Amino acid sequence: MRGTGVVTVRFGERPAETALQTAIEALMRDKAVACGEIWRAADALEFPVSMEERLRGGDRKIEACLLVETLRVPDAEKIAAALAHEFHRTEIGVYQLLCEITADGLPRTLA
Amino acid sequence: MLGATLGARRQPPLPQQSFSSRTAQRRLSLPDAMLPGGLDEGGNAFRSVERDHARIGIGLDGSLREHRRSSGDMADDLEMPEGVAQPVDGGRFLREHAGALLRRHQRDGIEEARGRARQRLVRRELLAAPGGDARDLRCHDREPRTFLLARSDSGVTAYFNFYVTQSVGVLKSAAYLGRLDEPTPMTRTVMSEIFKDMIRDGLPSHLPARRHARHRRGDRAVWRTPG
Repeated sequence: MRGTGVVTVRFGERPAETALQTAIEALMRDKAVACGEIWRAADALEFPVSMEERLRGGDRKIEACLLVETLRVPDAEKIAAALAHEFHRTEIGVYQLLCEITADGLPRTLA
Repeated sequence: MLGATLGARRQPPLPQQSFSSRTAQRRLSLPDAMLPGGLDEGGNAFRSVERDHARIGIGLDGSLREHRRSSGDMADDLEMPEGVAQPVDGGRFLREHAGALLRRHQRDGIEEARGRARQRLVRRELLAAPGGDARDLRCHDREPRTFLLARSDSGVTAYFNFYVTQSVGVLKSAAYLGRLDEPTPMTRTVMSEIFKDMIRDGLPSHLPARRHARHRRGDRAVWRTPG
């Protein structure tokens, strides 16, 4: 990750990828944006239902996610508001990075 | 969240890394070392320590003291007390000192501007074709790691946890699935009593064409609660 603020746009239906690419290209021109990614869900049939998931009562699934990292959280909030107008019928969240855990097992706390 | 962490611990040990992508970014963003007074004459002497903020700070303070000492006119050379030297030019010490502080303040501003410029350069590198100083960042983006994020709406905290694996095959491996099917007592408690409204998915990442190379091998698993 590059920034401390993250905007997620969750899609319940598979979106047109060109629209996501266009959006991300435009966002990358904003100096507040550090990184952007498009995530597409793998086929659910590839992943069997685990015991952990049964304990949780089943998990909801998403089809895709547009993830935008910003250097600061207030920037993420502004971008989230703009994306809410652009992508209807999606769920948008703004998060702050708390920590990352690397392969050596040592957490790097950021908040 | 906890389940993901426990699962990560049981996976085979992975090679350690000397610094993260964030560390690499900080290194790339460091301004050039400068001497007090705004003189950019550090050159090779400072190049060996310019990655270390603390050591640079010490070096600058030492130089500042040295500058003040040498500006004391004849007082130091003749080992005369300051009180004797002051009558010769009472305001000189103050002017020199104030001037040094002012230059230092200006230098801080220049360094800050340089840091911002360097950050923009790094961001442009990421957008451009692979190569240059951004190579380290791309390399570390593929390394397995876990991120934990949070948000708070109306007093309810939601967590967003995702982890990067080398391929989506890791998430389908017998070792990983075996761990999910045999939760520990702690995991059972967490999963059945603490976590709720989970959304979980395996997401092979895909990026726009210009940046696709950076994450081509990085796959994600998303784990979020509540939605």
